[in-house]
Amino acid sequence: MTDESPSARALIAAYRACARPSAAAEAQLWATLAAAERDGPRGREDRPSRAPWLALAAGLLLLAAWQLDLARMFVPGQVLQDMRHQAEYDAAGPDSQDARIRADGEGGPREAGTPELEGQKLVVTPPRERAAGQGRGAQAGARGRAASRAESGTGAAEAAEGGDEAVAEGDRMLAEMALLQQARAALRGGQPGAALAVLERHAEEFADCCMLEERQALRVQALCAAGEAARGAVEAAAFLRAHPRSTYAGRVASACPEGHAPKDRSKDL
Amino acid sequence: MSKTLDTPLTSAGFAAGPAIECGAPSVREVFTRHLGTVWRIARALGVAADEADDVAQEVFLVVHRRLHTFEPSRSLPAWLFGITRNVVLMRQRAHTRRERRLSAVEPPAPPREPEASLELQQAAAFMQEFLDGLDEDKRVVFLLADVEGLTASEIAEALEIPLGTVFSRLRAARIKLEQFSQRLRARSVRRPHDR
Repeated sequence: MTDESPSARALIAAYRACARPSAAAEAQLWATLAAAERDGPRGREDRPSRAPWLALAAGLLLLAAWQLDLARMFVPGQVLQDMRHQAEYDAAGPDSQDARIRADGEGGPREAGTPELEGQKLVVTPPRERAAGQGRGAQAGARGRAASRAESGTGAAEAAEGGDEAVAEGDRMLAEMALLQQARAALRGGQPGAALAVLERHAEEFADCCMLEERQALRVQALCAAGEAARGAVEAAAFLRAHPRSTYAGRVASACPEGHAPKDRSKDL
Repeated sequence: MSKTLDTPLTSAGFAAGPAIECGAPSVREVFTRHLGTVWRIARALGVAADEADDVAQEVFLVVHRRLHTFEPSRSLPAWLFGITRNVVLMRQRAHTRRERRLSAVEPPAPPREPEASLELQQAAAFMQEFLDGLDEDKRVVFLLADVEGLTASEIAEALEIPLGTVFSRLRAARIKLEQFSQRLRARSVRRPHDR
C-alpha cells in the first residue's frame, strides 16, 4: 500500500496486533476445538451425505403417491364421462336396453352378438374389430361372463386366439365398464333389484377392480331405490368415510334422504 | 504497488502468515494462522468485540468438521471468509429473534484485559473507529486486502464480486483512511496533551 501515509500503516499494524481474541480466549477456543478433535475428527461429516438420498427417496414416494391419487381421481372421471356418453346413446333405444338388462339381470345366457350389445360397444370398439367380435359372438356366450364381455369388445380377436384366461387388462376395464353400465341402466329403468344383481356380479368378478368407487356409489343408489333405505344409509356413510372427496359424494349423500324418502331414480351417474 | 491478481494488495508487510502451499492443512495450522483473521472478519461483518470470540469458536468448529471438503487449490482465507460470513448471518438472525423476545437491556460486557501498550490499543481503537465508519462493502474489501493481505482474485472469489469492484472499493476505502489519518494528525497537533 504505497499510497498510505506512515500513520495509516501504523494504524493497520496496531489493528492487526490488537484486534484478535485475548490470550485467554484463544486458549479457551483451542481447548474447545481440541476437545472436538478428540471426540472424533470430522465425526459429523457422514451425516449430511445421507440427507440427499433420504430426500430423494421421500420425494419419489411422494411423487408415486401423488400419481396414484391423480389416477384415482381423474381416470375414473374420464371413464365415467365416456360411460355417460354411452348412456345417452343407449337412451335412444330403451327397448333394446331393457332386453339386455333382462338377459343379464336374470342370470341367463346373454346374446353376445345381439345388435344392442354391440351398439353398447360402439364408443370403444374400432369397426374392424367389432366385426370380428360379431363373428365370434356365439362362441363367447358359452364362456364365463367376464371372458364373454371381453370378447364382445375390442379384444375379441385376441381373446379368442389366446384363450379365455388371456384377457388383456384393457379388456377387463371394458368388461367392468359394461357391467357398471348395465347396473346403471337397470337403475334408471326402475329395476334396482336387477342393478343390485349386476353389481353383485361385478363384485364377484372384479374383486380387485379399478372401479370400486363407482360400484359402491351405484350400490348405495340401488339400495335406496330398492327401498332398503337403512342399508343404503349405512353403506352411504361408509362410502363417505372412505371417499370423502369423491365426485359421487354428493349423489351418495342424497341417495337416501333422511326419513327414508321415496326412491329418486333420476339420480344416475 | 503494481496490481497483480495473485499478489497481496498491500506492500506494507502486514499480510497474514505465509500461505499454505500444498496439501490440506491441519485444524491446528488453520487455527494458529487464521484465528486473528477470522476474528477481524467477524468484526468487519458487524459483530461486537465481545461476541467475536464466540463467532471464531463456531467458525473453527465448522472448520473442524468441514476441513476435508476444502480444496487446496482454493484460497484458504477466502474459504474461511465464507464460513465466517455464514456463521455471522446465522447469529444475526438468532440475535434478531432474541431481541424481539427480550426487551431488557443486557449488561455491558466486561472490559478486555490489557495485553498491549496503551498507544497500540489506542491506535487499534482508532482503526476500529475508521472501519466502523465505512460501509460494509468497502470495509470488508479493505480488511481482506490491506489488513489480511489477500489478493484481489481471492477477494473477488470470497465476495463473489468482479475484480473491478474489488479495486474500486479498495481505492475508495484507502482514500477515506488517508483522510481519517490526516484528521487524527490534525487533532493531535491541536491537542498534544491528549495523546
